[in-house]
Amino acid sequence: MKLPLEPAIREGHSIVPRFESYRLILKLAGTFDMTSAHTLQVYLEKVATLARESRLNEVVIDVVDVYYLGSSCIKSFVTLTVGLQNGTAGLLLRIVTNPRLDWQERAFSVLSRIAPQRVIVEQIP
Amino acid sequence: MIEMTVPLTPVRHQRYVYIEFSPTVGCLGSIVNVITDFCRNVVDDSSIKFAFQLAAYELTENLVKYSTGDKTSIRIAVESTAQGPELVLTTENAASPERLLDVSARLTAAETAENPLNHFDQLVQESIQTPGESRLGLGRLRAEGDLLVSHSVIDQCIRIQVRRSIRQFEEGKTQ
Repeated sequence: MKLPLEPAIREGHSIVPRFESYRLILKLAGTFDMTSAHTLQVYLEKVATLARESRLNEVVIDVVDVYYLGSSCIKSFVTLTVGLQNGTAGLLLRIVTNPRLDWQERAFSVLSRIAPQRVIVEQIP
Repeated sequence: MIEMTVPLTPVRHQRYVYIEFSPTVGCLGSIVNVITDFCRNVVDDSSIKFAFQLAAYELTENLVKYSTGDKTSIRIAVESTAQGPELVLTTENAASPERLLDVSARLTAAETAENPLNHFDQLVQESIQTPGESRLGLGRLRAEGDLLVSHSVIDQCIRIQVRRSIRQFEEGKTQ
């Protein structure tokens, strides 16, 4: 099956998708500051559209190798979270964080406060 | 262009880095690297290092986006206070009167919020309704960085300062 999403690999950051059954897994890496905000915003808009059009059970966002997330990029995740609440009944958004980068859980916890039934923020074991 | 002053001083003198630069997107990473390298040399605590990395990014991005004129500055220093040593990050820039009013109001709200996390969540709710810029950066400084934030406006310039106590870690690093 051809992936409906292409990897986005730029200087300083990357987003690599893969599918496992009815799960879409996005592996993010690098630094997501104002220079990467547009790439991330456009990418997550595609993810929201795909999630609505496909029968995905879960979108997993692996941020274990993300070293900074700017406020513009947080807004893109907020927009994704709000977008996934409409037309994707039962879909879970799972954020996988790095226990050695404790800021990640703090930064992403805002998503679970927006949609506590839909968003899980968890650390890799 | 970046002009940088790195004083090579004995430990008992104030340690600081001061950078004066013309704000462009291209210098963002370099500025943040200088600030985070400085922090690495004076603190061990990862949460403090992240707090100042966050502040360096958010405040420098604001300098790049909103400054008028071709000269802005950022300074990171260890300052002695009555409560002990503090790490202090300061930015200064000129901006339009409209922008100064807006940012000053948002900083005052962030500085005086009783609960920084609730305040940040309120900003997030407002941002959901507003397409375009996030307007979340200043709220993060307290909510995520546990930083004490203050600001002043003089003429057409704004000075933003964030600080945090580093008493225990600074002593450990300098002994």
